[in-house]
Amino acid sequence: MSFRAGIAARAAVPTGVGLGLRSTFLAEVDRGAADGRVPFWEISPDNYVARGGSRPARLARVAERFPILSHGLSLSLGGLDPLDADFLSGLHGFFEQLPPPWHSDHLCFSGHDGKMLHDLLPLPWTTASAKRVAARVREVSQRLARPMLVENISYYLSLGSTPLDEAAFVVEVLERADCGLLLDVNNVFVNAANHGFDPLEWLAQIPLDRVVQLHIAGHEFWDDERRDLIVDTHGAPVRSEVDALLSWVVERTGALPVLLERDENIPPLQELLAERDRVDSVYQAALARHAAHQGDPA
Amino acid sequence: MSEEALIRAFAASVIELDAPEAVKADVRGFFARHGVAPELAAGLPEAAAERLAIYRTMVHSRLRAAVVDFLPKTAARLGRPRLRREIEQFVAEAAPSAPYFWRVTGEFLVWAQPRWAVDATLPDFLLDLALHEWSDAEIGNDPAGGEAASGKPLALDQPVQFDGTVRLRRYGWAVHRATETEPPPPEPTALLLYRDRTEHLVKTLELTPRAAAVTSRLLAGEPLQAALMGACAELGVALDDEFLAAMAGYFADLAERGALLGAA
Repeated sequence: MSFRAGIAARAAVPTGVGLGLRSTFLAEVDRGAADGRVPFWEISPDNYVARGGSRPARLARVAERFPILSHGLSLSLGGLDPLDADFLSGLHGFFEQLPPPWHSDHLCFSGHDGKMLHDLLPLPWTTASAKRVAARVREVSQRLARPMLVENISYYLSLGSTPLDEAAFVVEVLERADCGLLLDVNNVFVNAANHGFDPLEWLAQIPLDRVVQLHIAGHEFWDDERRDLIVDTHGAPVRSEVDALLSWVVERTGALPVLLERDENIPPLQELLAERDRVDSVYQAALARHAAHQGDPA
Repeated sequence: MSEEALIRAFAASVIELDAPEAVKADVRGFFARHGVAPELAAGLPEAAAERLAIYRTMVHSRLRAAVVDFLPKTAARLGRPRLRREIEQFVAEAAPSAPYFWRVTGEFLVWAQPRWAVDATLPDFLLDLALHEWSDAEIGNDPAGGEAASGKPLALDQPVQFDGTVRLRRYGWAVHRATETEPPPPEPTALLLYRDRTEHLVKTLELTPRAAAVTSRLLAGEPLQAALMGACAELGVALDDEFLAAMAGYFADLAERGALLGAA
């Protein structure tokens, strides 16, 4: 089954601008503070699997009222170590209860030689690397019994003079794995700024029919003294240049789930909901232009 | 293979203790020593050493922040430079292995425990304080807990059923009374910890020596009567009415809290 057929076979997929369900406001959301304000929540199952306490019950109650999307950080899809069978089994069991339409993780490695480094570390952009990662993505998809999306990361170092550029590497993985793309437009912006390329030229290389979900976020400078390196911290409001990339994509793809990420300097929930509303207005305007291009009323 | 060597070398720049100096001195040589073909290493950008240092800082800072989050009093006692060195050593020698970020601090403590136990440069109470601080996350997130009660009343010839999160911890210091600035008093201390079944908050009870002795035996699965008699023998006290009354009050309190569920 192709990844498109796999996604189509799932329950209704949410669209619009959702938020990450963070522990800082999980209790508030559980009490209904965001009801009617968010089309979906995205969770990281790594924070729920094999964990008791208040979280499972709260998540179950939230999942009764909202669609839930799943996005992980720990699969190390590009790693050299074998995939963690216990972790995959835990994820599979967790998804049976939830169940999200797909699972996503990053095009990176996160550990080596049994050491889990809990970060998104860049891969060499070679065909050999793409083949290896694609095989692992297929295996994960099979073991989780659901479609997989891979996310393009922010990278601060390219690993040598490789035959592919990042966009070509992403495309090769998508095609070899027959998986979807979780397109992070902030990461595209950050990489373009740090490495000196045109983000729209990068996006133009991506087969948009494989884009299943978007991420959007704010970024910060690595050091206030040195403003030549932008870091994808998810710790600030989204900048207008990143809004523009979101618009560019949505104008071409139509409705998608868009996740506004905020993991650092998390503001009070109502403030975050206001930021969501602002991003949603950008999304809705792009969607209207998409409909106009299609000849349909918005 | 070249691409695999690149990953190994990158990981080594984050993990190895002497990587910062080696990378700064000769980044291409560092990659070559980790099996990267010289022609591939030569293609690394000019800023490679600086960017690898940034990645190392990001990884180590994130792990350090997790430890500070879960062990705030311990981290304050250690101080930032010492904690940074501890994290560097931890990553080089052991590192986290679980895919769950919230468990990093527990993995760090497993590594630190034997080292800190014999480290004369650290306060004597630090390890106990750290273990006590971690208990909050360990028990608060324990997949056990909230089990259905057997519905059977306590019986002398039966073991008891505790909530799955109940733990007995013994320390050489009254670590639960430590503050950010005040060290814990040096007192042998037994604490019973459990997760409240309604609010899911971790609760701490300071136990008397006899309550601790009985609880230890009950948690090991001894029948109630054997636990009471064994505790009295262990402490050299009589199993008299006063002892039994005190234990009855203790069990009633635990039952009211949802920590003691009845006979097993």
